[in-house]
Amino acid sequence: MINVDRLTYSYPAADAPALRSCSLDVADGEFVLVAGASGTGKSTLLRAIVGLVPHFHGGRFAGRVTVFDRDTRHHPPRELAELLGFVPQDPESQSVVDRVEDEIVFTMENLGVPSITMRKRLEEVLDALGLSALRERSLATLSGGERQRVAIASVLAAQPRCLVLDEPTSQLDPLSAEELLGTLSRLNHDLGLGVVLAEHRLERVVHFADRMAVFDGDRIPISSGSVREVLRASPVVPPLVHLARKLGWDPLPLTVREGRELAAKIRPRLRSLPHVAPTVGDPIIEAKSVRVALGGREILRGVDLTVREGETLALVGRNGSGKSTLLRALVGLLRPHGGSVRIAGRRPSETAIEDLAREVAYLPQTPESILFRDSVSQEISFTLRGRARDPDPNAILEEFGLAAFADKPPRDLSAGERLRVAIAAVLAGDPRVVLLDEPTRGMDYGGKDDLAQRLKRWRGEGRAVVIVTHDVELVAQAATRVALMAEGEIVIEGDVHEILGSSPLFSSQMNKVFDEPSVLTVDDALLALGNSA
Amino acid sequence: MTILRASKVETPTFHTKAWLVWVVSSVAVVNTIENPFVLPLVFGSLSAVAGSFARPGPESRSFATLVKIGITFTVIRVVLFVATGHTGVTTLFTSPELHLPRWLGDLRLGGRVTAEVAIQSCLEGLRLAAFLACLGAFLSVTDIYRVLRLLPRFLAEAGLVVTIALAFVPTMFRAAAEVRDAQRLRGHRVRGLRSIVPVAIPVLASGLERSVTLAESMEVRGYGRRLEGSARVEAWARVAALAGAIVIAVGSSFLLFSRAPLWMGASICASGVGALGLAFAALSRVVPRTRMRRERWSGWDWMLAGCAGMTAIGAFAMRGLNPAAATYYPYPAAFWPPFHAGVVMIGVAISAPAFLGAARKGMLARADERHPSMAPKAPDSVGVAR
Repeated sequence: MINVDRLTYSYPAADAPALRSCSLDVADGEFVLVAGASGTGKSTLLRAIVGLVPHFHGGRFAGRVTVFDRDTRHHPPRELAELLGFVPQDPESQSVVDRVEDEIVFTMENLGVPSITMRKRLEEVLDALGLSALRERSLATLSGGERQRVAIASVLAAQPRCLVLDEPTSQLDPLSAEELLGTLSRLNHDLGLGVVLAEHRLERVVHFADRMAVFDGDRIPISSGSVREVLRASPVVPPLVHLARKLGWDPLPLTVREGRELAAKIRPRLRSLPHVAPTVGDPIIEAKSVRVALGGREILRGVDLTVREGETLALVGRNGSGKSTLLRALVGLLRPHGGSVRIAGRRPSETAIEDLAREVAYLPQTPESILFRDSVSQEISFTLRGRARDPDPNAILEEFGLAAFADKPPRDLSAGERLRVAIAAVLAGDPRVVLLDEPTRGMDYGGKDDLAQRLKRWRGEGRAVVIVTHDVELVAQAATRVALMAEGEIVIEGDVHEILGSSPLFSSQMNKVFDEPSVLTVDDALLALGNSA
Repeated sequence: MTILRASKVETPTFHTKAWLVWVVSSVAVVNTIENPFVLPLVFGSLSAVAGSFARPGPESRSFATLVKIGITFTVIRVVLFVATGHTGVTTLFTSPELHLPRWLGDLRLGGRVTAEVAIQSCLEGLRLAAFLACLGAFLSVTDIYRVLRLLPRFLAEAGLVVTIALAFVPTMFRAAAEVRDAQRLRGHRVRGLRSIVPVAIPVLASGLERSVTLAESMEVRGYGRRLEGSARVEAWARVAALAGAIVIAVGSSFLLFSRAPLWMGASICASGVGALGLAFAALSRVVPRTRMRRERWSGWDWMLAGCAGMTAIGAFAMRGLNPAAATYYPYPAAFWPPFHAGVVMIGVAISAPAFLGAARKGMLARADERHPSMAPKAPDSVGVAR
């Protein structure tokens, strides 16, 4: 029972309010999805629900938020801890202690749960989230997705009445994301656990939610109502709904099954698209049986990989399969103990990273870690100078649509906006090879389309791009080839249509709906239907 | 769980409290037995223990790190003492001499180097190194968070803050390395003072950000909760604790400096201690914290605690009964330290956990062989429960 009543809130020293007269009701045991573009106030709303706004941030707060009849102005977040479980955006920074088990019992210990009950609940959540094999591990050794599961387990163990989650699947591979959302949905149905969830990748969640609240650009939730109603006018929609709106389908389909039923009628009109092989140049990345060990465990077990100029390769695979490690080995941040790497005509093992950087751009998984200047334009100039180019940032700012943020400090931007700045900052100065680790984490559909367009353009310019991602839709939009990794090896590698078309789980919504390997995106589908609208 | 452990046959560890007894006894040995023969034995025993109970993760390196720090400290200490100290009768060699002017302390650097100064400074350095090694071995083999669980409730929160602060240091180093790499990949040579800014600012900013998110996360997860209506109890308890501390101070100054009868000082002290105890008890009651106890105290823990206790008692007894064998002082003239079997026994006894662990492992392995069907299959790879 959460009630947000005409909440208007500004962060301290902010010119504009982050939330303006925002109202939302969540009934006991309801599953509510909060959506909207980056920087529209989703995270702020969730923080207001758990009481961190205003207790932690200060600022101007008008209106009322009550949680199970407790007014958050009078009850600090710790007094709401047995009612609400909050999982913030960034699971890395939420862990308090170092071991999985200790982290999970942390909330229960604070709440004074008796030792025996604690033990029982620990075992339950370890099973519910598939963590029992990791129980003794140190959090520092877990992959991003595993840490996200630990973060959720730790709040779940305290048995709150409602979970408040800020993009809980942003770091998970499609299967784990599905599992997690399935778990949430099961808890929601079986135990009446309420769920309030903010998410960008709507295709994963719309069918689980009872209701949906969408922020439009002006920071006002335009509507909260049944999912189908809201999606009719929502500025952010999953691919399937996007297609349905274009084709005027009614009611809007939420799941692939509903989509297939509606698509059956127009399926005969669909012709397969001619396969256009991308024009590729010479190999620019060549990795031969690369082996990397970290902390006594072998992470890469002999990876062979060739990427040519004009190719966009998507590295996919479950959490902890070694994708990020491979990327780091390619740029020379990790020394392989076997095999060899050639990138942009050099060997990273024999080249200083600074020299390699003239030709190679690398975006790490934590984009914040590279931003340190006072303004966005200074960030761009920094890279341009480093690559010995003209340090005038304006062209880049224009190209990446960041002109509006030019003078803002990058750290004050929202997570999605910061990511865009970081991408622009590593790409300034025309590198020939671009390596991106999770470039769409917390990014809205607009930002993603933008990135996909840019990736296509780079491909035309003959650059080679490698993206590590869990985002199937991005892969469908932008990649030419896909390599699937598991247990430190590349299991399969091939053309994007071939890989996505042949996988029942790892494929895009459009591909699942039409079951046609050449149709991966909404644009493909419209083209294949001869419907260019 | 035990069977699973046995099937992997890794050395089973001891209860944290047993480890605590062991480390206290080891420190006691280092402090009481000054005979140089004990030092190599202590280092050997500690490394055997740290080696056989090493856990995965960065903490397992604490032993090696602290030993290195101790050795470095010893070397520096010997060099400094040899250069500035000149007592003792056995001259090893004479080096060129430098007399510092009075405003620099009027020191004589170099000159006669004596064996006594070298031996004494080296032994003192190594004793400190041995102390650090005890600590390092303890940190390598135990989980610091489990040690914290042994604190009384009202101290647990403060203790947690301390561990977080400690954990922060390696995190910052890791963050600094990451940031440096990322900046190098933007084409900047990280070199010299000018490169500090690009690395330091994101590290500090992300460090601050991380502490804020961490504080938030602790807050929403109920850290620092008090029982309802306990604010007054807590305030009074704090006042009582302060009063108790003052009373103890007054009482002990009576005991030490005044001519008042002994019972007066003692009773003042006792009432202070009583007030403090009551205050702590009250403080513990307003904190609703509980602790998960997973560890079970087994017969093996009794054995370890017993061995460690005996070792400490042995060391004290030796110091009391046979000071000539337990102590060593090279002045005025250096001499070969006396050899005593007791010293050897005490030094070796520190490795008790390694022996007990090996014995226990052997027993578990035998049990495993006898009932192979009891051993569950190895868990499937890190997967998601369906």
